[in-house]
Amino acid sequence: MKSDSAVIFVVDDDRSVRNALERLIKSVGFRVKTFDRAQSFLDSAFCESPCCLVLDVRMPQMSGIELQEKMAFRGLNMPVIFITGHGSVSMGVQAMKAGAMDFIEKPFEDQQLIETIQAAIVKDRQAKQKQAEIMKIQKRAASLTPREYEVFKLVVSGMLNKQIAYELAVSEKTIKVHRARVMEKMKAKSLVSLVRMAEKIGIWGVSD
Amino acid sequence: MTTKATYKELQQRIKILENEIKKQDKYKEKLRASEEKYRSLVESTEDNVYMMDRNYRFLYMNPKYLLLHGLTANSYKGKSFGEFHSQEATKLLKKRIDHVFNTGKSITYLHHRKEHGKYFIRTLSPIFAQDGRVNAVTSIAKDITLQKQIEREVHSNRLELAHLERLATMGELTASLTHELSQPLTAILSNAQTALRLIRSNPPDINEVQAILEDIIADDRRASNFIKHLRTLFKKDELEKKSLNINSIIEQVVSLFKSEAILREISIKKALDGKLPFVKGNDIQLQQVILNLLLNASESMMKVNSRSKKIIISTMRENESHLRIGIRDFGKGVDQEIHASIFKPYFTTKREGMGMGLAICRSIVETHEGKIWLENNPDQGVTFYFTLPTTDEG
Repeated sequence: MKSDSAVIFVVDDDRSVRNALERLIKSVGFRVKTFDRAQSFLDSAFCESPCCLVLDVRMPQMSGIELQEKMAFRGLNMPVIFITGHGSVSMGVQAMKAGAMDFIEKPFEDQQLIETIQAAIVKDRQAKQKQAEIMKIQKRAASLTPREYEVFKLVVSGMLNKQIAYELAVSEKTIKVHRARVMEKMKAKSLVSLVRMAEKIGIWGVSD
Repeated sequence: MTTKATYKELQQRIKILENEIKKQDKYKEKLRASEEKYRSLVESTEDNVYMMDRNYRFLYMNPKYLLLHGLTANSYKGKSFGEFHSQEATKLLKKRIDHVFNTGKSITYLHHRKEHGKYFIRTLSPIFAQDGRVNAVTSIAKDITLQKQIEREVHSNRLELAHLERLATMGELTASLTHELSQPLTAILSNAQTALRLIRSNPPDINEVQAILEDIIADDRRASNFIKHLRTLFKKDELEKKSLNINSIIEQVVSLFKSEAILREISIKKALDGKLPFVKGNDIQLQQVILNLLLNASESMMKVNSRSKKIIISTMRENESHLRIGIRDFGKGVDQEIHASIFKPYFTTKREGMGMGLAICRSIVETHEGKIWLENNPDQGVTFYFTLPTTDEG
């Protein structure tokens, strides 16, 4: 598996560690971007393709945990692999709780880091695919008229046409027309797939 | 006028003569008693006493000195110093004796008799003749071997204590020191494993492998230097003092402390005067003082907002003969009332720690003939200062 356009970010304040990690990660075919400080990563990191962050926990100016919080705030969602020169248990626990991919003590075997990176990329690719699908569905939902959107919500809540017609105080025939338009615009082949889409974008309809 | 004295007259004269003789006897007796007194003073003393003429021949030796050389009261007469001293010792003594004869002034010096392992403090003083010229020299030597021994023991206890305190300090820094070492090790391992990969690939990227090997060597050197540096601090003190550049001592300590500072989120600023003369001192001990003061400064800022955690180390000239080192923190400060007691042994405001850090700092600074004190900063925290004498040697 060539890792298509996956990007690995490395943040470590130590120049030679940074260079060594860059070489190692490049040697297995990933693209690498290195930063000496967490802030410069936050300022310039942008990644649409699958990516992950290899992070030294103990850096000047900002701790790794703090950085992770800031990343979440800025929407830089990606798996984080912590590496540390003095892995204290509490630090590791804290990092894992904050959603770290792994917590690796320096110095480490190349295989350990590479395997963790590969797993992180797989995870991020899935997350990004899911994210892309959601965006697609949201875009379709946005193309519905207000009335169609209302019908959409009621359909996925499990109501029959008759009930919807009653609810909206229009004829059943009108609902049928709206419903066909919703299926078409949402590109849903069946009621089941329409419900799944609704779930993905967080619509549960009205349930009395 | 009769030529013959009358019997009565004769009798009178005899009487006078008899009185005169009695008086003389009394004087003699007094003189004898006085001599006896002074003799016993010289002969009963524990000090080595002798008297010597211009040709370095002994005029007198007290029993203590006779005993030291295994001589008897009659056998020393006419003997010269050189007959039972080494050539080197004789030459040195002759020079000193000459000095006393020529200047008429006494001299005092420390004398180490290697063959007996004894230390003496000896004073050579002139004895003046009627005409004001020096006609002999006395030597009084006091055995101070015991005092020397005690002095040495005190000194070695102090060194031992300083060493223990240093070990304790290094213990406190273990986490950051390990990190500092794990950095080059991480780089080396990653680089080496990458190099293996590159060599196995087809075609192998020899240029990259070469660059990797160069980096590995550099990182290895970096780790070795760090260890070498650590080793000096772990080692026991040697007494020697050398001419030192205080700024480079500070740089070394700061590099040791770098990781610890990062861990504690403290930034260290240096304001070093690059044109300072050298100081004469023991590098390990001076590093210990600076390391201790850095640790104290960072501990004082434990509860301070991380953005203002800062230590400023400065060096400057104090005056013609001394330079001054300042370590400023932005911590919680020290009450004026305890400024003096803070340097006393076992004084501590910390929960852990034996309270010896600053006491040892003071003892080290004072054996370097410097001073150490602290001042409250006008805004926040305190500054510890110490001075060190400069040297011309470089």
